[in-house]
Amino acid sequence: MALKLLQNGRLLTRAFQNLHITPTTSTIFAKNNDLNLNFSRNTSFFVKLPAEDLWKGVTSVSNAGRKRGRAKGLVRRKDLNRGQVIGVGKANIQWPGLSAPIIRGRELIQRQQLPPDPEREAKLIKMRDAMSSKGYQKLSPLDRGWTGAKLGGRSIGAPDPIGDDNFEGFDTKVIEYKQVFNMKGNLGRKRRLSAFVVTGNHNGLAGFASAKAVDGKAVLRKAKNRAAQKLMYIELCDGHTVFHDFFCQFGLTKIFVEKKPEGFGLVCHRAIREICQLVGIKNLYAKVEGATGVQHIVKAFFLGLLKQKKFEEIAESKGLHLVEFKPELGNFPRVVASPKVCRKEDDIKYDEIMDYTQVAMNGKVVLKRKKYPPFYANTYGYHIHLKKLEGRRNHFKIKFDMLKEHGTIKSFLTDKYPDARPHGFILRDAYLKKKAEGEETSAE
Amino acid sequence: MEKYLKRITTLARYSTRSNFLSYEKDPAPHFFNTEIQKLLSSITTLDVQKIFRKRTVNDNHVSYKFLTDKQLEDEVRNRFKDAEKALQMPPVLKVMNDQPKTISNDVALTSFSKHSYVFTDVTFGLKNRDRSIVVREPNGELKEASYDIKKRAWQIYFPLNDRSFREPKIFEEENFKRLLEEGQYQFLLDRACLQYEPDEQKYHDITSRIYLHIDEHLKFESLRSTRHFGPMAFFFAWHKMIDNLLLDMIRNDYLKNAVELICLFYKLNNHNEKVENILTICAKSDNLESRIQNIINDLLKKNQIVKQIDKTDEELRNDEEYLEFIQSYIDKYCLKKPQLELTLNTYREWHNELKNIQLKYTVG
Amino acid sequence: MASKAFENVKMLPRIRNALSPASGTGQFYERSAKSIRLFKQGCTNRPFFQIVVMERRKPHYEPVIEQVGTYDPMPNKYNQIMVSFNYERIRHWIGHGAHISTPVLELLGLSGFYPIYPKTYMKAWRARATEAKKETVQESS
Repeated sequence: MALKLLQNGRLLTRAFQNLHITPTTSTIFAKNNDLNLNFSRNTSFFVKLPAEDLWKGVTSVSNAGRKRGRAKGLVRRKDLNRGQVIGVGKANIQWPGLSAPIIRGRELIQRQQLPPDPEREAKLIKMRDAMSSKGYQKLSPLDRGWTGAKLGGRSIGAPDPIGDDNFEGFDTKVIEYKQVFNMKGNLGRKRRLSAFVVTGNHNGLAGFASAKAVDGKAVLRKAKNRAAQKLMYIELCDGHTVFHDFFCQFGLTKIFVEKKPEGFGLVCHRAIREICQLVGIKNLYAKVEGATGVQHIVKAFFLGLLKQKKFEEIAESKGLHLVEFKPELGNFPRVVASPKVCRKEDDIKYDEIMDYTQVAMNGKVVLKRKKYPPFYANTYGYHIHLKKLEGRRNHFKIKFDMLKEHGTIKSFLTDKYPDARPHGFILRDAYLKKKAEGEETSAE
Repeated sequence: MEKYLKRITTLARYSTRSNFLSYEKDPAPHFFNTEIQKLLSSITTLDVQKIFRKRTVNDNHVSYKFLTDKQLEDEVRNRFKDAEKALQMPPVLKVMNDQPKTISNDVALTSFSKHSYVFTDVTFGLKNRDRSIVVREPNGELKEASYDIKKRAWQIYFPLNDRSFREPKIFEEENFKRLLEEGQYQFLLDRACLQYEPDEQKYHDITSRIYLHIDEHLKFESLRSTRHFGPMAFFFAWHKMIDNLLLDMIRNDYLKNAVELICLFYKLNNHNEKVENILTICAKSDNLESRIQNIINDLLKKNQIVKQIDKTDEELRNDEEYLEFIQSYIDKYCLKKPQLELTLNTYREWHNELKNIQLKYTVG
Repeated sequence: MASKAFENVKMLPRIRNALSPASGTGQFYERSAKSIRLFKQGCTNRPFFQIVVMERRKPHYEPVIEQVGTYDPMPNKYNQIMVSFNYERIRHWIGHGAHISTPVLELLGLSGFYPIYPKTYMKAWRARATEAKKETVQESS
C-alpha cells in the first residue's frame, strides 16, 4: 500500500515537473489533507537474513576467480555486534538486575536515566574501524624499510638459535621480497613468495641467502636461517671502512667501491648500504654499473669484500713499509704494515707502481669520465648572467654581518626612512612592538 | 707569600692600568736574543702528541705511501720540523708609540669638505707597515694616519681572513671572564694574535690578563707545548713571578725546564749568577734526537720496551745538579720559599727512592 | 705589459657585455690617448668609483685597461672618505703620457701626491663664505 502511494507520488512529481512546478509528494499530501506521511520501509533483506548469509553475499568469490587473483582485495568479515552489551544503549539508562546491581549496600536501586555518554558511540566506531584490514599497521619511521609498508630494507630480527649458538648481536635485513609464480600442470599458476635476505652481526660476520615458501612468515624464517648457515668473515680497516678501493663484478653487474674517511657515511645503493651496516662498514662510496639486479649486486659486493687485500699482504708483496697519513692528525706517519725485510731506495725500479690504490687494484685505474661544461657555457646569455651574479656575489655575507651587528637588515637610508627595509623585518618589528605593548597592558 | 703579594701590588700600583702588568722597558732586544730564544723554545717542550692531536680538517681523506726505512725517517723528521714551525712564538714587543706626524698644513683648504679623506697606497708588494696611509682633515691638515685608521685600511684593502673590523665579542668583559674560567686559554690567545698586532696596547692587556689568570690557578699544562708558552715564561721571568711556574715544573718532573727558567730570570733581571755550567749540562741532556729515534723505532716496532719509566744514571746525576741550582735560587731570590722548599724536598725523596731502586736492580 | 691590437674586431660586442677582470684587461693600442679617470659603479643611491686607466675616447662601458685605485664618496661611520691609489702604477701611466681627469686630479692633490688642484681652493673658499653668511644670519636673528 505504501509502495503504491510512493509510485503514484513519483508519477505526480513527474507531472508537476513537466508543468515546471516542483513540490514534493509529502508537501502535496500535507497541504491537501493535513497529513504528515513519512514514507519508510520497516523490513528489508538486511533484517530478514542472518549475518553469515549477508557476509557471504558480499565476500564470496568463485574458484576460477580465486585462481585469477580476484580474492585479493576482499572485504574481511566483521562481527558488527562487537562492543554492544545488552542493557547498554544510546539512552544511558541504568537497569537494576541487568546493567546494575539491585541492592547497593542497604539501598534499592531504581531504574534511572543517567546523563548521556558521548564517548560510547565514538568507542564503538573506533572498535569497528580497528577490525577492518583496509588501513595497514602504521610503522614508526625507525622500523620502516626503504618504502612504506613494503618489506624491502626491513629488519626481521636475529636468526633462530641453533643449539648453544644464540646469534647474539645479529640482525637480518630483507633485501628482496617478491611473489613468484610457476605454472603447474594441474592447478595452473602457483604462487610462492621469494625472500633474499642478508644477516650480520655489525662486526665482520655476514651472510646472505634466498628462500621460497607459500607463506610470508615461513619464507622469511627460512631465508634468515639459511643465511645464518652461510656466514663469512670480512675484516675491516680501523673498524669502519674497507682497506682500499676495489672493483668487483658478478655477471654483468659491476661495482666500483671507494674507501672513504670517517664521517663520510655510506653513499651507495640501498642494498649495499644494508650490507655495510650489517658488516660494520660506516664509510664507503660505491657506484653500481651495468645490470642492477639486487641479488647480483649483493653477490658482487660480497665477492669484492672477500677479495680485499689486507695491509700485511700488500706490504709483504711490495717489500716496503705501508705508511698511513691522516690530515686530521697533521699527516704524522703511522706504519700500518711492515714487510719482514724492507727494500732500499736503489732496489725500487723507476717504473714501479708506487700509488697505493693502483697497487691494490692490480695496476688498474678507474676511468673517471671527463666532466664537460654544460651546454649553455659558451652562450652570450650565460655570460650576461655571470656578470649580473657578480653584483650579488657578496650579498649573503653582508646580510649575515648586518644581522650580527644590527639585528636587522637596513641601508644607510633606513634611519631617515624607516620603511626602507625588507618587508619581513617591518612586519617583525611591528609584531614585537604589539607584543611588548600587550605585555605592558597586561602587567598594568 | 707576603713578599710575593707585596711585589704584585707594588707593580700594579706603578703600572698605568690596575689589573695587569706591562713592560716598562723595551722587551724586544731581550726576546730576540739567540740565547734567550733557545731557553724559551726549550722551556716550551715539544710534545708530539699534543701538537699532532686530532683536529677537524676540511678534507680528511687518508693517504697511504710505500716507504723505505730511510724515507720513513725523513718523513718523521719533516713532521718535527712542522712541529717547530707550529711552535713559532708570537713576538713580545713594547707598546707602539702612535704619534702621527703632520706632513703639511694648508690653511686655505679649511672646510673644503665636511669629511676627512683617508688615502691608502695600494702598491703591490709592500708590507703593511711600510705602506703610506695619510689623512686630509677638513681643516686642511695632511698628516699620517693614526694606528686605528691604518689597521682598518689594512683590513679593507688587504684583509686577513678571520680578523674582524669590530672588536670581537670574545674580549668583552663577560665573555672573556667566562672563557678564562672555562680554561680556554689557547683559544683566547690565538684569537688575540689574529685580531691584534703584537705591539698594540690591547694585545698586551689581554695576554697579560690571561697569563695572570693561569698563574693564579696553576693551569700551565694547558699552554705547555704551544706557541704561547714561550712568551708566557718570558712574561713571568721579566716580572719576577716565576715561582708558581717553577712549582708546576718541579711537580711534573721538568727539572731541566725549571733550571732554564731560572737562568732566563737571571738574564732578564741582570743578576750576576753563574749560569754557563748548568746550561752546558742542559744542552748536553737535550734529547730531541733520541726522541725522534724512539718514535721511528716505535713506528717500525723495533722497541722492546713499551715505555721507559725509570731514568738513566746520567739523567739522575743531571737531576742532582739541577736540584742544587734550584736550591740556590730558592735561597737567594725566591718569594714563595716555604712552598718551593716543600715541593723540592718531596722531589728529592722521590729521586732518592728512584736511585735506590736502580741500585737494587743493577746489583741484584 | 705588452700592447696587443684586438685580433678579431667582431669580438668587441661580446667583450663589451662579458665580464672583464676587475683589475683590468691590460689590452690597449700603443699610440692611443689614455686617461686616468673615475669609473662609476655601485647601485642606486649608492655610488662607488674605481680609479681607472682607459683609452680616452672609449665609451665608459668598455672594459678598462687597468684599475689603479678606488674612491668611495659616501663617508663611513667615522666620517671618513676612503680613497686608495696604486701610486706605482699611476706613476707608470703618467710616464706613458696618460691624461688625468679633474676629479682624480683633485683627489691626488688632496693626498699630497700632486699639488692641490685650484678647484679645491675654490670649494673651500665658497664653503667658508656660506658658513660665514649663515652665522651672520643667525646672529642677526
